[in-house]
Amino acid sequence: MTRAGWWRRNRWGLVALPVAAAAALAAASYRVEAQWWLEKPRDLQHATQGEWVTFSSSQYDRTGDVPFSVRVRLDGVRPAEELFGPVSDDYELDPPEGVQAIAVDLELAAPPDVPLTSCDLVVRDTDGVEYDYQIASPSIENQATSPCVPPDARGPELDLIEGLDPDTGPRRPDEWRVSPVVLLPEGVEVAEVVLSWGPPDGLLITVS
Amino acid sequence: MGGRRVSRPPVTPFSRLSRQAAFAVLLVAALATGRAVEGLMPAETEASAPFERAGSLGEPVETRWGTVEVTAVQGSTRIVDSLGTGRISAGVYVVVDWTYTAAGEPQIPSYVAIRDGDGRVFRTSSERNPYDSGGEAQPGIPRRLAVAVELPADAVAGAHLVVALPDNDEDHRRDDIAVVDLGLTQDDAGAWAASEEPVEVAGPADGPDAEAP
Repeated sequence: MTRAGWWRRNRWGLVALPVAAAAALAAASYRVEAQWWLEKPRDLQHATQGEWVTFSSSQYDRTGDVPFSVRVRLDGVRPAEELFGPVSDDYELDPPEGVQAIAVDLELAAPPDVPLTSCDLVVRDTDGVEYDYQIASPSIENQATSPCVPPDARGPELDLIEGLDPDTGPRRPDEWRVSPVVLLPEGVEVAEVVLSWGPPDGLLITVS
Repeated sequence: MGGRRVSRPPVTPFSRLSRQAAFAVLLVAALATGRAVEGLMPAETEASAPFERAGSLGEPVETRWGTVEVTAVQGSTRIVDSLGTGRISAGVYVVVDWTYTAAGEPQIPSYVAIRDGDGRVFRTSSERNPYDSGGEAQPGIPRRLAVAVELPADAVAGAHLVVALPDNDEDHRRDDIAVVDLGLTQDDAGAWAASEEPVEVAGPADGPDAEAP
């Protein structure tokens, strides 16, 4: 039996092999989307510190998809002096030994009827290690629940619960500034800031 | 198959039947052997078992998701939790002070239990077996934690602390778990079962231990 004969006899099987392998891989990876792609912001729009960028994405609530656009500028990252929007003025920023508190100065702009409260803020160091904005921890008694909107004029919420008016509180300004505080180990340098209103979309701003 | 023809003895209906029967017997035998091997060997459990990273008291245990170090072990029949609530056991309360340092991203172990020498597992919860994690810990910032687990006195000697990231123990498969030998003996069990001195179960705190040498 010749070699050419083997290839000839199995030609249809050989044609089907890559298709079958691709189908098997696709069938076995049905959880990649839920458990990896949607697990954190991965589809990142890139920007640099000091420039205004328009970030467009979509959230969803009881009414369906809620597309939105927001303009964002990272002014800088600096050592923090006070907590961001604590419920009580008695809560003070007092990080333990070996821990630094940094404030992320952001300017944002959007029409006051755009719901922007459900936002996540993460900072990354030069090695890609992530530290997130925490509302409370053993070292932080309490900060504002959203790092992206003014604590005293949050603007509308997503319409998530029937019977609950999503549009409460004072009108949000057209342009505003926030300074959420993130705790990191001392000596760690912030290289990137990631903002997201729900994975997989996110805005990655390089700190310069 | 190929174009080559092999001369065979003439096929009678009887010989065809016996060949088919032999094939069926062989097939069933092969399936039965496979099933028996699968049943006898621990293939199912071993393939999905967690990776146990072992250590002992005072020794940092490195895992995929961070570092676990047990710093102190105490015991008594009484504890006082971080809110000041006292609890009394007819067995023994084992109180473990430990430190967790997250790796890569903010996270916190949700599963903390004590496993005795016989493999019995005693889990922490929020009520009688307090464990307050304080929420996700930022990477690189040590989180000081304490747990108290109520055990029968015969489970104390040889007990290990088991720490894992997901709360559900079925989700520990193919992931690291930290298993720390608490170095406890029958003498500890006897002394603690007789002790009525309450042991404090501290709340979570960040940063290195200020009292550490």
